[in-house]
Amino acid sequence: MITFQVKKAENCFVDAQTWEYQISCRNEQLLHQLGQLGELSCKMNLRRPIFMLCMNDGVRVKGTLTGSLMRASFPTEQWKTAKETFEQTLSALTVEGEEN
Amino acid sequence: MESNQHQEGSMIYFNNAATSWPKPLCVAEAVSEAIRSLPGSANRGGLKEKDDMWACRSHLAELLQVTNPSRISLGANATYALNEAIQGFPFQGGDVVLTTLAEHNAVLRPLYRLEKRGIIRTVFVPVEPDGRVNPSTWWDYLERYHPRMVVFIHASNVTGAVNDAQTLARLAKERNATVVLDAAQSLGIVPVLPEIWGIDYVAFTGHKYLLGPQGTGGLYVAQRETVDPVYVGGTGIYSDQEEMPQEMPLRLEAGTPNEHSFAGLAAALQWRKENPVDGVSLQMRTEETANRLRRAGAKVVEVRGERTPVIAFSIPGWDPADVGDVFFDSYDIICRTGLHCAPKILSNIGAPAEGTVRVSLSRFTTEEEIDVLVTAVGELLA
Repeated sequence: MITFQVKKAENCFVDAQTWEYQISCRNEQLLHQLGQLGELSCKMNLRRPIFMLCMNDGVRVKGTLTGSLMRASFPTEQWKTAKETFEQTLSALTVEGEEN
Repeated sequence: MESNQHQEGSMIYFNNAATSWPKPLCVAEAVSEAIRSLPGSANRGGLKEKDDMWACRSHLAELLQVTNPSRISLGANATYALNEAIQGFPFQGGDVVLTTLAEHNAVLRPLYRLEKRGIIRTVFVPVEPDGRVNPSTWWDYLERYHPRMVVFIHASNVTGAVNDAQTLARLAKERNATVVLDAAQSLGIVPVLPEIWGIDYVAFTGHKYLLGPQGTGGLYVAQRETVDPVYVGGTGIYSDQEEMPQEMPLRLEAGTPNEHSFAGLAAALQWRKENPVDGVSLQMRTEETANRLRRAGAKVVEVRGERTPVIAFSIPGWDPADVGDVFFDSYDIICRTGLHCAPKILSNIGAPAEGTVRVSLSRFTTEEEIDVLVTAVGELLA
């Protein structure tokens, strides 16, 4: 089970709903499971490689592979529902080798 | 953990148009000394008083080449100063204020407020694709709208393009308009000469290219001008009067000032006098950086002529906010993305609705840091 701290990240746009998640493992430890939630792409050529995930409900998630911080941007419409669903999904993920 | 991946000393700072960093060491030392010293005596002066506020005024008067340092009021920042100039001006109902589409919200929001209250009507002059005001267009609008006041940005905080403030002010004066200049992005890096150029108000900040601490700024008010102070209150002296004193700078300096930070600003002003910035070299370096970014595949806003060390660009296929996050997370680069508090300029410069990526250099930016920036752009597009 993944635990996390969450905080809103503001930008220029009043309707933006981007939240930062500090999770209890490295992002790369969740990649396989994240890949089942939507379209996952990685940029391995960057100084610190990143992943970008477009989930089926329009949520966009990104972060460095070796880091433990991910940013999730929720669709403006119904962002609260999307955030709640994302957090439930995130909590239910398991680090490889960890028992449920 | 992610937070451990960034070490302050290894960060690459390209956000000097927001606030400058690093500052000269003497700035930190001056702030530290001031906060450990006995406070000042609230304008009561005397020969033995160490007066950092007056030291700032004297340095600034020299920099602005104005004859009377007392015409410079000190306050929190350029936004504070612009509010004093705009909201404190004795408008009569229906006056037109001419401004530009390149303005920062520090200008726009005070104007919106006055317009909503029915005090003024705001007219916007379009800008060129590089963010600069065309004097010919400016003149057309002056002739058409007969503004009571003009307010314009000296250097665009989005593109870095520097307006010909002298010409724009002269044309406005030919139509008897009061001239307010937003010099937040220019003072300290390009000449700002209100007395010579005939400008009535100059709003400036201390923490950008003057290299001082945040929370410092001010407003130059020409001798012929009088504003009604937006903020009123204690001045330490003349306490037996109901109204704010008429005399400058006291008239616009209600309340206890941020003396510690102004001690830092005084140190910064002294430092920059002893270490003048090489504006020509910095401009050339900015242009070379822009060219390198362009060659790496970025879509750079082209600026010709005088400019500050600001570069706006986008990366095809990438949202500007994502670029900023990747720069930070993967390359330790700090920049600014989005609208840059100047939302009206975007359509004029051909930028997308999501805004731009903005990098802003300083005299302290190294070639190695620029190399990393260019590499990052290239690798994003690979």
